Amino acid sequence: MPKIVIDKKEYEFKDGETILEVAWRNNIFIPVFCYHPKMPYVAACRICNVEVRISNSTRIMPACATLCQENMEIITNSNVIKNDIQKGVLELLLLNHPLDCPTCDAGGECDLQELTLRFGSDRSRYEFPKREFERKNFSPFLDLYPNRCIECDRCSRFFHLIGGGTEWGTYNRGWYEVFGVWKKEIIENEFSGNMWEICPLGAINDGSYKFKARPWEIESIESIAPDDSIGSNIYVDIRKKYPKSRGPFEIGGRRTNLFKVYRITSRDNPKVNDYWLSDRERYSYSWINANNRIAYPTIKENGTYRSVNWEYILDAIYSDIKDVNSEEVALITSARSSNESAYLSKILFKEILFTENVGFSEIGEDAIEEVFGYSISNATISDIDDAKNIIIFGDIKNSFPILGIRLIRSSRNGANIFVYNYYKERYILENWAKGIIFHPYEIEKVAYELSLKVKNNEFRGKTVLILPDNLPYRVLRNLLIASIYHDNAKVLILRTKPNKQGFIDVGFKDKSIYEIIEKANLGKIKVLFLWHTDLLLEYPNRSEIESALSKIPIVIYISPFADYSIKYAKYILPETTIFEEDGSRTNTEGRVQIHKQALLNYEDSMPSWWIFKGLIKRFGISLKIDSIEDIRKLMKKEIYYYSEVDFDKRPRYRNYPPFIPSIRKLIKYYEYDLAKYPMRYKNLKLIEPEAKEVKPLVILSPHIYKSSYYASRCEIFYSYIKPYIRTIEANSKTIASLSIDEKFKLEDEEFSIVVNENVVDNVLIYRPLFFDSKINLYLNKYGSREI
Amino acid sequence: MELVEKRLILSYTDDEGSITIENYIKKGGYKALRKALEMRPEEIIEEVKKSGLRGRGGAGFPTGQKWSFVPNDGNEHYLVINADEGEPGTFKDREILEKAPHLLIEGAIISAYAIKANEGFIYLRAEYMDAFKILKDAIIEAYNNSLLGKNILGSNFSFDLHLYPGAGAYICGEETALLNSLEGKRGIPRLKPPFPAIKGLYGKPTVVNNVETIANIPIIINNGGDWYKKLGTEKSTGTKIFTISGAVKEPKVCEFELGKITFRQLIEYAGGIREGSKLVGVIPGGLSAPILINDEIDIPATYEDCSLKNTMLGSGAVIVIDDKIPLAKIIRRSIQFFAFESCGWCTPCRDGLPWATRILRKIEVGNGRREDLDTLYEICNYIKGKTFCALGEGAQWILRVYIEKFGEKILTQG
Ligand SMILES: Cc1cc2nc3c(=O)[nH]c(=O)nc-3n(C[C@H](O)[C@H](O)[C@H](O)COP(=O)(O)O)c2cc1C
Ligand code: SF4
Ligand code: SF4
Ligand code: FES
Repeated sequence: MPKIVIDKKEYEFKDGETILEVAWRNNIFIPVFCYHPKMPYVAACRICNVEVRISNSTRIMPACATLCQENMEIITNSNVIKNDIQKGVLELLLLNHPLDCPTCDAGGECDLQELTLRFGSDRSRYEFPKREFERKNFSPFLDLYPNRCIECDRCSRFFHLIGGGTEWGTYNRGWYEVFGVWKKEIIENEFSGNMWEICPLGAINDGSYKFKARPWEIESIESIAPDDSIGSNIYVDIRKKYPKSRGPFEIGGRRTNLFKVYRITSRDNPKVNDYWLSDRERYSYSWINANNRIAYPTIKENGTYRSVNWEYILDAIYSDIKDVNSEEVALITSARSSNESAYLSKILFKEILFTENVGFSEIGEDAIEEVFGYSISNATISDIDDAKNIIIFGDIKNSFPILGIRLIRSSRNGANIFVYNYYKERYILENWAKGIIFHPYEIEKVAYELSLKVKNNEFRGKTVLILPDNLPYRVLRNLLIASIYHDNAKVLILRTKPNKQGFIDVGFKDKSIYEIIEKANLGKIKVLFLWHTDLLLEYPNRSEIESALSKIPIVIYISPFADYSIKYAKYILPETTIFEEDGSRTNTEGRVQIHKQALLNYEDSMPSWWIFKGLIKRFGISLKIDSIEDIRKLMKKEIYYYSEVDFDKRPRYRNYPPFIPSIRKLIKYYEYDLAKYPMRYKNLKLIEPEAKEVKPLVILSPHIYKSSYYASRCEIFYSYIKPYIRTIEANSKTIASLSIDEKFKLEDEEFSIVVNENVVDNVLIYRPLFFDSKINLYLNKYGSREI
Repeated sequence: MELVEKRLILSYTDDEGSITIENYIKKGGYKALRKALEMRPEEIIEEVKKSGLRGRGGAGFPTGQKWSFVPNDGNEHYLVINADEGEPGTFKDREILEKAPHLLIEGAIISAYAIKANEGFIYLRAEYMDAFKILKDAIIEAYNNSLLGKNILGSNFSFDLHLYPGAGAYICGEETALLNSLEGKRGIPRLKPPFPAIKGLYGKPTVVNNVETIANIPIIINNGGDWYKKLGTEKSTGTKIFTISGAVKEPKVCEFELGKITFRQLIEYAGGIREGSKLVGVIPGGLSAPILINDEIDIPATYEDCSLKNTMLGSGAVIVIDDKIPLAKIIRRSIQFFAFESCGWCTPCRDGLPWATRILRKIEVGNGRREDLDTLYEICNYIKGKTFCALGEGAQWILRVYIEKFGEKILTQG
């Protein structure tokens, strides 16, 4: 291996490595501002300058941007470096800095503070007025202080190169250079929150964290973003559990007001979110103290509610359900709980109650298992990185926003991305992807044609199909079969429920919830467990669901939130949320990821595994379970796929300087295990599509913030979603072709119709609002369930 | 001794109507192009190398050598002509752009042929509005005469020339910032290496040359590299356009054989120093060249003699400075220019120069102290060798030389 000399010692380097990388790896901690390990270097700030001697001439070069060459001799600690560069650059950077650390949220985790303490001078010779900029706010997520900016360009680099946006940038020249937003009132980029995290100081701060806490009072707990099934790795920042400065945080075992989530920051997992987070993952946390959290176990008796203790309510439930026929018991859940809870619920429902009536989503039949032998993706998320072709069927931006970062990166690297959808979404409009726009009724035909193309190897090179698991059965099946015939194709199934993969792995089979609803409507269901879901919020066909629920005598409602369907419940059990419990979750690619308890339980709520354990015990079966570890042991033994999964996975470490706060977090990174699945591919035949008449159709389409179970409860998103105005989008041709009757109907429902020319003809897109289900009446008539 | 100009380029600007293609052809224009199209591209590069022509944009890099860096890979290449003449005191390119546009176009076609580029861009300083019009008309004329476009003069070679008005920043004269600006990005320099000749405009190999450099090409092709090399000195061959401004009686654009004239003679040629004042010094090559004081200006105006005196010939913009203007004001004004034009990319230049400007202004109004000079000198140290591009470097260089040469005089002369 070639070698370079740094401060008189020899070190090896690999081709293409910079001086900084080699130095850091060997514990020589050169300071940086503009360099960020996850972004391309630009050599702007110049604090990393070192003396480089090659063939007898000495020059000063930026370590972050100079590639190593054989025979380079590098000096990092001469007087010139210390005085003219490290001290000098800091003195210059501080000329204009307002030095308002006491009122800055970055204080305590600011690169400028730390490096000034370490390398800088304690006084300034600058005796002139500082420059000042007007403060403007462009986003509820960010709190901007242009005066503090040191023009390191990290934010614009992120915004352009990684977030794929254009509106944010640095404007003006020289002394008056300042960041800003071009031609827009508000930043419309689903990754903007990352900018405060990479900003080395407090020029961009977290808008949701403003003036709430100081970093030394904060403890970061490893967790997983609960909104989608990608499972981005996050830190939940809470007040230290045993703070010295202020207290008390627990009163009689209950958490106080100060004990809440202060912010969410990103955690590096190169295989999943690669350090970045989408705004939905980052800012969706105020639901944790939502005012409709359920506090106590409650029983409804003769129309009145009574709070009781856990023993009492579990006994009551047991005596109510112990004699019910197994066909008359049903479970509907949205798979939002941990694997451990799923496992115990499986014991209860499959091994004690013997019920087949378990539903997670609107689609029941499992094409994936039929074709692949097991219901799981055969691609991983990082397969996107080196794919030549990426074929997406349906929506990514709104449902799985974080995947966008990888897609934009692949597109930059030359991958061909094809998006099949009924409207042109962001990646098509911004030329990251090619769009194939079709009417929803043609979906089978379009998918069939695509399947033939895939099957006949018309896409050359590595091809990744990204398919949501709620595609119609025949569509999904054909595409899966085609991928098997392709030389080099893999499929990434996107689970539309956050932990659906985990629920499948512990042994559940998804039955369409509508089958259960139908049975209930016929009076065939006596006991229904509604677990971490609200049917009336999440599904169309409200009247059908309401009548079904009213016909079930015993509805057991297990959830953190008191949502609409609670009024049909006889037993109400408060459940903890992901931030209040230990657990593991399996993401859409089969990666088993761990989250830790950050907060005390909200009032009397309990993790659902504990609730199911109590019920199981009452049926006379005693499992030796005292903690989550015991369940994991059991799972490893009983679930073959998880036998090699390490639930105690430790983080790995990189050699980065410990004194640079914005980089310190990257020292630790996490890589969780993929479960091992048995795949048995079958060579099946494609099914020819059935022709369908194309007619106007209202369809429900996800909206990034409105339709998320958690995010829609958080006020911070309201500037993006106008929560009280309901909209329907359609192109102008479709609007013109609506009959008076139909228009009247829409107006009656108080929609404002928005013209969006990117929508295909004859389609009206309704972006649902979680807390509003009136649309369902209308949807019933037009049959949105058909797609 | 009578001073005689050697007007190679400027001879094309002499008479009325010099901008039309008819006049240009009458003067022997586009002959070099015909000759060049019969040569092989390598032969042209060889000829330019032989001529010893050095870039006239400021850095004085040998042009033939720059061209030979372009890889011979059969891919797309670009030629970019740097007409963003922004260096204070410099107006030589303007003379060519406004009076001999066809000389530039002919040079461009030949250069493009030599480096196998089929597309060329002229990045024109936005304030040169007359030049824009003249150049545009000239390019249309050239297209109409089949001198640009497909199959030039019936050969296999095709070349399109685009005219692009700049974005109003001095830094966009720096070749890589120019490329960024041309691509529609923010005008900041790029990291080097890779140099533009390897990875330039849109990532393709690109040659960036000054207007005067390109205007020399037809002359070299017409007369041969050996002939050109005989002009001037060994290291500074050919002729150079000088623009003389400042405290002289008749500011002038003139062209002399390099090495045949000293700076003092240049001042005389411009009518001598203006009435009633005393010469303080001469800035030999545009504002970013350090000053030569009164007793240093008897050196020949060549690249090598200037660098012996710790300055540079740069763009050949001779600015004459007399004692009528306070020294501190001249220094402040110079540094303020660079501070204002700093692109803001790197810390030392972005923050160091405005700070220096403020200190200089303080000195200018008479509040200067001894320590201020020390601070200024330290700011120079902060910048020296530590910036991203040559703007900051040049600015600290002139400031440093002012302090070294005048010392505390700066404080007292205010
Ligand atoms: C700050 C700065 C400004 C410059 N401005 C100009 C300019 O206005 N015109 C020019 O021709 N070259 C300018 N240059 C020089 C160019 O970077 C480049 O060296 C030149 O275009 C190369 O052409 P040449 O080899 O023909 O001299 C400038 C350089 C710097 C560092
Ligand atoms: S706002 Fe922050 S990240 Fe952006 S340039 Fe300024 S200091 Fe750097
Ligand atoms: S030296 Fe000045 S002009 Fe050049 S890159 Fe740095 S800030 Fe920009
Ligand atoms: S120049 Fe290297 S870290 Fe900024």
